[in-house]
Amino acid sequence: MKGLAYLYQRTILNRVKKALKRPAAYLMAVFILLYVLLIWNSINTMMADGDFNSTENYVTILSILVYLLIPANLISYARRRGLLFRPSEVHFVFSSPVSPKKVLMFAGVKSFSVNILIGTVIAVAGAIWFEASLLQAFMCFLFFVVFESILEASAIIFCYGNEKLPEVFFKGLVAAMYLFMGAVVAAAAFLMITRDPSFGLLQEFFSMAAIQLVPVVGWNIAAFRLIFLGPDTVSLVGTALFLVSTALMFLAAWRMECTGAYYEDAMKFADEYQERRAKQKKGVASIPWLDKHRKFKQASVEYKGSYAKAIYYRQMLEYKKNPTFIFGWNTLLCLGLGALIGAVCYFNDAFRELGPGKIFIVPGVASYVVFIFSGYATKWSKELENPYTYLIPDTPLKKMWYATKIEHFRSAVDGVLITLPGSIVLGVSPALTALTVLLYICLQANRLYYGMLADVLIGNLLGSTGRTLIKTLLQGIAIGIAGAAAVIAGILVSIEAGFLAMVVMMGALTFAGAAAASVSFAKMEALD
Amino acid sequence: MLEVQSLKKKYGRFIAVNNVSFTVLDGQVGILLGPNGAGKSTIIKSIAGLLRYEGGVGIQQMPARDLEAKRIFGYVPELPAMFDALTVREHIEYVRRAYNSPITDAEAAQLLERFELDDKQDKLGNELSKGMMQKVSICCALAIKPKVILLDEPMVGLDPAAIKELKEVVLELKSQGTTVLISTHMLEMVKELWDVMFIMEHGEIVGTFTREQAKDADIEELFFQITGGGEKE
Repeated sequence: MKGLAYLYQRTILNRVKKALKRPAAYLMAVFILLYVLLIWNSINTMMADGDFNSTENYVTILSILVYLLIPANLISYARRRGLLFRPSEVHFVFSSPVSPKKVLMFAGVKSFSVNILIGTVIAVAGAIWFEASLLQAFMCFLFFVVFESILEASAIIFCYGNEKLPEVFFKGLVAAMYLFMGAVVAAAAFLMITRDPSFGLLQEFFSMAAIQLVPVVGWNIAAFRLIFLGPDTVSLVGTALFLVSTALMFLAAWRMECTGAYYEDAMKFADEYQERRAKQKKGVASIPWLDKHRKFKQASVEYKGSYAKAIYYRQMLEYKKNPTFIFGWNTLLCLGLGALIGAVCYFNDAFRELGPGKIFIVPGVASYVVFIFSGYATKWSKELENPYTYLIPDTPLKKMWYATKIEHFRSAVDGVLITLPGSIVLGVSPALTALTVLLYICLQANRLYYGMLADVLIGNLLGSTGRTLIKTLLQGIAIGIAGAAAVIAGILVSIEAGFLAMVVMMGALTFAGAAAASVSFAKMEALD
Repeated sequence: MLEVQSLKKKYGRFIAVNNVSFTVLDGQVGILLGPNGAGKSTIIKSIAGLLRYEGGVGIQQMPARDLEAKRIFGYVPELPAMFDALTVREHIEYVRRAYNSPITDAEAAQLLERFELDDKQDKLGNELSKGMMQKVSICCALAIKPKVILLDEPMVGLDPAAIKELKEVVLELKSQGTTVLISTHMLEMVKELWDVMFIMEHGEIVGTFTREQAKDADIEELFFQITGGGEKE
């Protein structure tokens, strides 16, 4: 255990030391502080304006939290995916002479720290905003941090350390908890549909004896009701059951024999998590289940060119082997968004209400979507990790163009899906519809190349957050300039001309950015 | 002493290791050989306690999962993974505390020097190259002062100087009575080290030789004789 304590102590100290040397950490701290202040102010305003600060309302909020957090936690533990072990822990901790139960508690410290944080926030919020007395706030903290953590620790040992109960038992447990969560959501939905949906209805729902007497989750709510609303039969029984079950779980966990059979599952999850994290870092959208079950078709491609063009044809071959070709979840999202724009315009009679301004609705929504969402990396980004890309005897600009060419086809399809329904409903001319699709392609290309440009400009100086900020800033400037060109041309000539000016300006700015960013394809170390 | 008795490991219906038994005595160097997918890594991970298995593994006549057994057991995995936020020196210190190892500061410094890590002591885990990680991993396993040590492909990623040093370390461990088991593909590298050789194929041990039995036979010849590979070469 001395080793684990040392490990935690040094890890925290070294991380703090390292963070203090990075400018991005200070930026992040300022953002977090501002965010907390913003939340604080919003809640203050909400509490001052409304009649919401009763303990009854607070208990309802806590009940929702309990129903969201506890079953999800228990499910993750029963699936042996609730604790995160890193490959370094598999290497150095699993084979060390530390009891496997202690190793579990070592990993659980992260969860228990979150419990302390949540417990503190709940106690402070109760005392400041919800008329809870200091004693009530303290009891709540004690309950959430001490008893809840004991229960969680026992559940962790029971689920991970159990070497007697078969795997089927835990699969059944997970299924039962999913069913239970589904039943609760269905009951709440039934109430919301059959009666007027309101916060009062939720209050009524969570005060039902049947809800408070649901094992573990309901008993938790009963304890909160006892602390904040005073005793009644149901809350007393529920709290007593919670305390007894916690004590029994603790005893069972204490006595349970655990030799470390769970290391195999933990090691597998550590590897999977590491892989997913690496992909996320690179911005690659990944669904582990799909990745595992992905099958490739037989396909062929005719290379109609050499040098940098080979990159394009090789990518095309890979996409042809993909069962969904170049399409993916993003295509479905665009289809949904296009249908939504069409439906909203149709049901709100936007055609008549907006007049000539209607042609800006679709491009406006498209720009917003492109601007807000960071996008995801696809095959083109892998080209930058491949040494052969740099060895191909061609210019960096051409390599970049052929590495990203398919992305523009993909944008064209997505652009049509987003634009067409709205354009039909709004009666936008085919020429303007085509210009809107072109604009969408330009915006997506702009995001792609400006992201690359941000990488070239600042590298790892400000971390990934810094890179995103710079990219968003550059994109914002480009959209602003294109918008200004559109306004000027719109006022001087016509709306259609304004639209054309916007597309042309956006295209030119994107090309300029792309040319500057093509340095990424000149040498591999450009992105290090 | 390391004893593996009737070890069996299944992944679903696939039997990765089937009824494998072998023993490596005190002061002996055992080598585990076999083509890719033969089950070597599964055996190594099972001995290290990372996998569930049927059968038994004994370290100095104690069940391998006992904490007392773990205290005297060193493990160098095939792919080393460092703690991102710990320096090289702190990795050694962690091991010293986790195993309550009697290694002194001077011995730790000497170990790092032998593997040319003395000038990298303050580098963090995430700043190390793969070869350096492998060296740190070896140093950590040695810092335990183990009675039984398991090395899974220990030479991969090491520079020639480190390979030479590692060979010397293995011979020193042997002379001190430590049990060493090395799993490797690099037959050339373990030629002068081994006392007992286990050749695996399809999850089973298909050949066992001691150095006395093998006499002057070449390790490669023995391996290909059993596995039937290498004819084309």
